[in-house]
Amino acid sequence: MSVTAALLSVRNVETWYGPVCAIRGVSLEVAAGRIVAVLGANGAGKTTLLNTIAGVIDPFKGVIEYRGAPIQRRDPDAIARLGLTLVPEGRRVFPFLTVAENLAMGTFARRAGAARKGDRDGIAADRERIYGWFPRLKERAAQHAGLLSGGEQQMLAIGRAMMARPDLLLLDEPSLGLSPLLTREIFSIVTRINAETGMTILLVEQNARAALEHAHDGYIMELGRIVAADTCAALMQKDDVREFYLGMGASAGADGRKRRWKRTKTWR
Amino acid sequence: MQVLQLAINGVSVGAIYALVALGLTLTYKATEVLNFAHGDVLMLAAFIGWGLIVGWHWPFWLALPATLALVGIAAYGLERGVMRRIAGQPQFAGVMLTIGLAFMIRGAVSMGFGPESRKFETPFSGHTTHLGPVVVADLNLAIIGAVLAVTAALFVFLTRTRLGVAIQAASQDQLAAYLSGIRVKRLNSLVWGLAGALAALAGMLLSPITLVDISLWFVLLKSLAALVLGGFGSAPGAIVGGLLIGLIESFAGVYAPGAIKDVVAYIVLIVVLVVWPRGLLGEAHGRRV
Repeated sequence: MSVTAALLSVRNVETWYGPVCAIRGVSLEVAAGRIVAVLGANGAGKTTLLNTIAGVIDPFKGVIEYRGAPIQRRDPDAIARLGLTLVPEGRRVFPFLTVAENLAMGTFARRAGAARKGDRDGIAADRERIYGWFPRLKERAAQHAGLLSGGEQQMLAIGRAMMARPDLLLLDEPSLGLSPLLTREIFSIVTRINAETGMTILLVEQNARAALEHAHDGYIMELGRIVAADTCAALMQKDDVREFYLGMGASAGADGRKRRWKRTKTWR
Repeated sequence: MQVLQLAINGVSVGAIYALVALGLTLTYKATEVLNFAHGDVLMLAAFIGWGLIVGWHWPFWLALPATLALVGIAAYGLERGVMRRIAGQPQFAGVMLTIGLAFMIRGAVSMGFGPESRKFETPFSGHTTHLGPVVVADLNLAIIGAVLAVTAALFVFLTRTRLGVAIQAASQDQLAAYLSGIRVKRLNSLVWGLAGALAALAGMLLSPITLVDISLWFVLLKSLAALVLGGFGSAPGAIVGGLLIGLIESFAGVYAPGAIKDVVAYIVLIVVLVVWPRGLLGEAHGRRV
């Protein structure tokens, strides 16, 4: 994978939850303008990785550089104001605020000066653009966010993050708990946001097929380590990825038995 | 006639309880700490007001905002310097810490000012107004008016301004507020400062009725009864509960035997906790995780 200018670069990051090491020396790079997917099973450390980048958890070791400057161990709100916004796992909208108020809260992370004065029009325009991507949010603008369906809450969480005008959007399992149809809708909008605004997106997914089809570059995590990194197109050609993550069994071997990679190969 | 008279007295004392309960609710919702030092902050404010008015001969209308500002800033500093350190600790840590702070404030006041009670004059002291057949002390009218105005202003602040909505957001989901770029730590200090100013206002309004005395902090216990009756964690509940406790006390003083008036608030507290722990306006859903 050729990386020109890395917007985000994570180097040898290790994060512990008390005595448990959740990620063990992860390195990855996110180039500006790309959609990068991190795939992996439950417990692989994907969410921990995003939370570490966003400042929710402090890493034990390692460097996280954003635009060439280290950001590890800063408060999450300070990191958000640098233009790096995380849409957390499970959406976490403000349940007793209206949809419109939820969106307005996103503007706190706009870069200094922008939100303060003369940006009213900019904020209104951004809100309209988000309503354009997610028309259902506009219909429900005056409703409490806690009353929205799961898919609508995911749209709202993405919309709230977009109100910050981030340069790098981190998405933690956008498909969590959504129907295949809604998952496709969310992913196609993520692709559209990237194409229309050039926004860099780093997303973490269990739904490997959706993620590989929509992202440019991919990383595969297992048990707290990165075990594969390539463009998504190349990853999808790999036999082990096809079997483990896409559920496409390998063809029968010469002796007539099904050859299964799982028996013979582990990542470790 | 007597009923009306009692009702007005009850409402004005209840308005104070409501104001104190509102301050407790604000800090509880923002930082999940039930501030047991709130009553002592109120008491401290009454002594500061007395010092400014009687000691330094400041006019009431200058001493009142000065006391509010001083105590508000002190409460802001308390959150920033002390309370912030126990963020994320179990709830009893906050309880123990604020009880400790309460005793420190109480000790400092009794060392600094001495244990005797004192009083200061307000522009309303000694005047009465005839409302139809009822004679009302101007002080009571001022209390009701001030509490109404402050509550309305607070409501507008919390629901209509960007900063106020952010305070609500941070109390609903602190992590999401952080991730949205809201300066949650600063907001928490601000809420403590605001609650401190509310306590100071309550102290400046209550002490002309009672006296400027160390025992002013007892109003905290009445306000806890009000909180439980109204529904813990609900701002409208704090106001309704405060007014009801004031009314119950006022009527119990005349219609109930002996010294029931002094304990009726705690009887209500126990009965509500046993029979209807959610309170009048308590949240129907469980606590957020």
